[in-house]
Amino acid sequence: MSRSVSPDEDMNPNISLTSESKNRCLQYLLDELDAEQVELFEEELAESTSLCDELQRQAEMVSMLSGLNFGEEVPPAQTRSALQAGTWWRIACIAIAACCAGMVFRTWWQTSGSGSPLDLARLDTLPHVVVDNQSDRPIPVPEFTLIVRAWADGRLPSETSEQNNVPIATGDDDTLDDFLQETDDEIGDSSAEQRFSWIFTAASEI
Amino acid sequence: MSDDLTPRIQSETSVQRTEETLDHWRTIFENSERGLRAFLRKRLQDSDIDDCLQVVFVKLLENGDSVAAPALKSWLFRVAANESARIWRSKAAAEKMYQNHSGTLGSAVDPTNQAIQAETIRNAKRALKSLPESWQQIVYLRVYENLTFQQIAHRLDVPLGTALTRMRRALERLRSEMK
Repeated sequence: MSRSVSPDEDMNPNISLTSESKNRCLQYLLDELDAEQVELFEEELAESTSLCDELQRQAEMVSMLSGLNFGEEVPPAQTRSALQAGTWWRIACIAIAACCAGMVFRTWWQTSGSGSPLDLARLDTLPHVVVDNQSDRPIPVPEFTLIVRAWADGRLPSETSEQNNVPIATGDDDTLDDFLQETDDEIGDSSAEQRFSWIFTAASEI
Repeated sequence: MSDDLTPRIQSETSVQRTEETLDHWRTIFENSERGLRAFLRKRLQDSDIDDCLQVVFVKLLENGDSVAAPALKSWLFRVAANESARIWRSKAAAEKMYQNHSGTLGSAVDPTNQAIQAETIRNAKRALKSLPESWQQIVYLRVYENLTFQQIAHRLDVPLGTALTRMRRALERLRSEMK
């Protein structure tokens, strides 16, 4: 154990002790040094006034504390096992919350969204599904688009009468252009804004 | 067992216990004697050290039972410090006058002393409660639970140096707040 008090300390008793030296002082008072360390410490003690003063200060406080009977008023220390138990409890709570959030999100995704593999597998059971005439594949269509198409069917009897199913959008621009041309002729300019909003919405959905 | 023998056996048992108790306190004192001498060497002349140590030992016999085991060594140094201060005072002329009245001024049953002591305890408790909780826990575990710093460090999952430093800072803070 190395000396923590300077050799010049006796010439200048006000020299400050190192933190290590003060800690060792505390260990000495509380009988936590081994025999060799005790011997070295007592040698230092015999030479250092600062160390004596520090020892006296600490001895006073430890002695005073032991007479306080303060034990019942101090919150019990959290042990490592208690800390671990608390940590595990928090992890369990987070895991349960994550599971709940996942279930809520999955339910929402299934009922509102499209494009997931699950949706494609269950398209036949969904209400807003039409069948592509060319590929015979079921394709989900938003309700708003279906309304627009129903409205368009009323306007184009020649096309709709040939089909049993609701026509689907195939990306064919000619059909859309024909539709737009005919409706332009029939509807006046006064309702142009309203008409175009419907059409653009439908086109974007298609 | 006859009735005549019983008191004698009880007396012998009592003597034996007293001797055991004396040995117990003597052992404790001898374990600290070297350190106490080193401590007193900075405060007293060599001729006064033995007198001082004798008083410390007598006080240990009288009051040792009332001191918690973890604080016993601290208590011995505190008594030694007080006794060395008293020896210094006794050498001063003014102290002679004080000594003449010490029988009345220093009485243990003096209500003034009791009031001061009670106030000191209240202040100490208040100061201890004002410490950070992590410091309070270490003081509690070391002084009241008598765990070593190594055990405390393991229990609270902190390095040994941290446990030591928290305890020391707690003592320093208490001391400054009680001044």
